[in-house]
Amino acid sequence: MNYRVQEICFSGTLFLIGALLMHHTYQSGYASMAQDLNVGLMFFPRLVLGIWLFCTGIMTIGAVGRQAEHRPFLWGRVLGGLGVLIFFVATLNTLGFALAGLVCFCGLGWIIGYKRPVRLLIIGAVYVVLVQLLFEKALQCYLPACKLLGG
Amino acid sequence: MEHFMTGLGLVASLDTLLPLFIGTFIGVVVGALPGLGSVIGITLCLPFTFTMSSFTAISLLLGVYAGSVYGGSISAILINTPGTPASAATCFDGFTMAKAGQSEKALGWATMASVFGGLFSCFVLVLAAPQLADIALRFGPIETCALILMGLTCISTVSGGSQIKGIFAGMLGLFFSIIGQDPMTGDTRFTFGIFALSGGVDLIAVLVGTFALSEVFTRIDIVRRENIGSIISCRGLRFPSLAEWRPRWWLLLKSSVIGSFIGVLPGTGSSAAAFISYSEAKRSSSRRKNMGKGEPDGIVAAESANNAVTGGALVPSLALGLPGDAVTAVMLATLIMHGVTPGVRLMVDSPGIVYGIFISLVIANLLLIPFGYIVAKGFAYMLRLPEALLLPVITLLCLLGTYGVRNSAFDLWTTVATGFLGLLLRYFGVPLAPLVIGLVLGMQFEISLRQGYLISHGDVFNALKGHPIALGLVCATALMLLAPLWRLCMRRRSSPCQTKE
Repeated sequence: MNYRVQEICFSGTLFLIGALLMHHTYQSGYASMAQDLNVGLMFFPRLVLGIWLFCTGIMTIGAVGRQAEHRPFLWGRVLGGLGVLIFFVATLNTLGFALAGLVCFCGLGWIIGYKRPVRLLIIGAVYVVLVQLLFEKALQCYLPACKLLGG
Repeated sequence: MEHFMTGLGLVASLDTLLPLFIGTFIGVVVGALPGLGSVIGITLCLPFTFTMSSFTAISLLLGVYAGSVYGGSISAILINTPGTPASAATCFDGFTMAKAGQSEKALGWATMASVFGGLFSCFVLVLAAPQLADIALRFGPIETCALILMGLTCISTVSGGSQIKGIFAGMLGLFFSIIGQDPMTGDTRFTFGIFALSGGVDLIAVLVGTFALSEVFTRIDIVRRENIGSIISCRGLRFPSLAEWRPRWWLLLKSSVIGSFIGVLPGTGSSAAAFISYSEAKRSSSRRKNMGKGEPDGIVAAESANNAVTGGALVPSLALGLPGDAVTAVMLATLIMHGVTPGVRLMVDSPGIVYGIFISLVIANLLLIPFGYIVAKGFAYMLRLPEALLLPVITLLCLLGTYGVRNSAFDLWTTVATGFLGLLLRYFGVPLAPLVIGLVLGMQFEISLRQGYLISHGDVFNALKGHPIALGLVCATALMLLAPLWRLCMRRRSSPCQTKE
């Protein structure tokens, strides 16, 4: 998929999202709220979404008129990185910060290109412990413990 | 003079100076760690103030406040992640300078601008607090709306090449600020049944995601595709020379005035001051074409303004008993807990305390220089890591900083989602800065707009006629928007003449 098609899809999707949000502002639930106020709670959102629709419409038309070009981008690696972060957030409360953080650190390091697994594991473990100490002892911000180990 | 000496006597003791030193250092460190910020720094130190005297407690908190506002610039410059929302504008030029191998210089600019802005606001505090408090009382919703509208014009000036994409990003930021509870009625909007959204989208989570995570995702692509190593090297801090400062004195002074004035207004804050000052610099600086591409003017404007807010914010707090933000609210609460009542009578009943606070803030701002050097050196060591290790270090730190604000996993999801959104926006050439501006200023703008509309019964024209301050601000905003068009027209007129010749 060349860049032009990607941009058309992106701008078009944003336009569609804006239109759906604008449609959402006309829900009956909102109409019944704050009826005694001259300036309702959807006044400002509709103003913002109106400009949103205008801008994304122009962006989509601009993308249609653009020449096709190819832009190299390693989507696979980037989505892999995103996957690692999603795993971290999803498992933080279950695995605890120590384990989830270690997996996140090693996963990201591997994806970015650090190809020494043992060293990566050791550095990750040391870093995770240091950060946990910093947050819990110095900043008094307690991080989740591993529920699987009875934390 | 007598009151000044009383204040000096309060400060000049180890019992006050040591907490002030420690507070400033903690503030710089906490401010430099992405996601933590002034409020967490203040909250950390608050329990220790219970056993201190009132003045010592306030000195500790002032040090944390001044330090944290400055500390945010260190991470903004070195890792493109504002440590506090007030430093978001510093990323635009600071990180670009760091990528160009001028990180030490960028840090030097930020440090000196912050110190100057902070010191300037101290003098404003002591010389003009009652008069400024009077002006603050004249600022109603209509004036506040006009002021924030001026700040929102930043969106067009930082949009770079594509104005339409910049305006869209600004609208996206404004939309994020709308999610959650309506500020006037408390009804929820755009939550789609998700309870966690009823508190709105956390500013820190969006900032960290938009700036830090999107940068991490972008670097994953660049590092693997181009096989290059670490892009940022830093050996510490290097101050600019007097010759480099000479053409920027006026900008520095103007930005400090803007920051001090905005700090005086309750509810506006250092983020608004930084963006309004940046916008003004982008409009008026002779080097405005380079702003956003590594021009020190951007750093000077943002940092002097956001640090100037620290002194200005104390004016309504001490003179009127009105806290401008969460930080000054905690400081006021500390004063009240120790039997000191802020308000109009404070200047009359305890002038020594007011002067003592002024002297403490001066010392805290001067301490930014050595402590900024130390923290920058610490970051410099961290940046020596290979990028494949550095990026996970930064990522985890940022995620934990976000988590530490409300201990909320939902904020982490917000950070990851906005990180991916930030990547998409960057890939398709949509500038990120307007998104942040819209998010930071959105809620205040909506509140003041709706309040102003209600007060004026929808009659905008007569409302502006009856509020000359607002009228002046709206005219200034219109000029700021029209000036680039005027310059373009003049340039087009002169170029056909040159061709004919």
